[in-house]
Amino acid sequence: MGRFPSSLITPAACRSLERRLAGWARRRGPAGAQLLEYVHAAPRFGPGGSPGGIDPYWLLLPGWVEVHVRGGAHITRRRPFLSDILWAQYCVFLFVRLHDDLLDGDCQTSSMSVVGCGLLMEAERTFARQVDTPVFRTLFRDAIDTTCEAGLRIDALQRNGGARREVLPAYAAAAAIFKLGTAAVCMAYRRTTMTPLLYRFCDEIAIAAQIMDDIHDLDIDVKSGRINYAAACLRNGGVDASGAAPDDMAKAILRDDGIGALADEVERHLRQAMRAAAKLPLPPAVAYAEHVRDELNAFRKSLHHARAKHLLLGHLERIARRPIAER
Amino acid sequence: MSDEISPQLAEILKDAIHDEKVFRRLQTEFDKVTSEYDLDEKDKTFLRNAMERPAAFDVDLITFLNALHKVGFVKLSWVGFRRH
Repeated sequence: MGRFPSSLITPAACRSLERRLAGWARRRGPAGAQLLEYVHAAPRFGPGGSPGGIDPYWLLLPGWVEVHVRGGAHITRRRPFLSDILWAQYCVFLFVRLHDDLLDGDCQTSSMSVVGCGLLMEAERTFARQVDTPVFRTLFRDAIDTTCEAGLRIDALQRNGGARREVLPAYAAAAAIFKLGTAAVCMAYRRTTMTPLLYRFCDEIAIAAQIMDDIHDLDIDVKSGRINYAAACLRNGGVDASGAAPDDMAKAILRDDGIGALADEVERHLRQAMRAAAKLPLPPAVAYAEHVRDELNAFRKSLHHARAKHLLLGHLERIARRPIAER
Repeated sequence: MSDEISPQLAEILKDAIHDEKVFRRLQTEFDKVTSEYDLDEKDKTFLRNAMERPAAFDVDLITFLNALHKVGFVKLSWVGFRRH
């Protein structure tokens, strides 16, 4: 199995992104300051944040692909190439994330909508400095369109009785923007034959990650009237979306190991991602998916302990509380 | 009850909590597993109730799911920058 440090994005790459964001925000006055506030208030994963945090594949893949296509040869592209690609990719992400948070009410600063559009323009300009072709421009527009449309589709499915299997392709579509950085590298190096397998890798990781997010957000989503994929599977079809989680969901989690079954599904997608990366071959991408799987297995093990303890020892305690004659 | 717990029951509880395979086998091959552990009828009834009794499902799922956060949930989102 491949080994990974806990943080996969180099400090230099991280500083570069942060510096560029700070510079970009400074030029936008008070709205820019609000953007920085928003970014710095967002939860950070990894060191200092959630112990299970993993760097996002979409900021790692472009670099792995660049190293792969260069094959150790002399760097012929201009030095800021990868830095530009990652910055552009991050801007697109932030544009979508901002609008998503505005839609959900998680961000209530309306000026962020305008700031988000500015980020989108910045992404387009930055990509164009490195890959200014009609094909990439079309890809860029289509990816934004696909992501936004899929976001609305998922929202509608979740609010109308529950999102079952049909939502999974939409999860991949919602992550269309995350292919842009990688696609830009392939186009710049004229290695577009790699893209089908890279896209497959991205789709499978995106689906796996979104199911994990659904499990993570189960309670919040159900309480806000959204039957996400995890909730729909646990509820066996999706019924009452209001109020506290009903008995059948509790049974599905505790007795039937419903989350374990969802974790199995996540693992299947991770295996598909590994297979796609192995065919390229792109060892860091394979190791990345393995790393996510290891985290998933650690989670699954802890979940089992919690569940078994709850059922078995909880029952023991209940019996101990009963009068002796009733036991 | 804790005073009355048999060594066989204690053993199977320990194994089922620590080893998911034992727990799963209990769900699918209850009679076989319980006879391997030499459980008597009283212990078998206890185990059956523990795994299936509806009263066990009055758990507050928020508490349960919050516990999952503590075990290191895999999260691939990323907005804020890491502080290296």
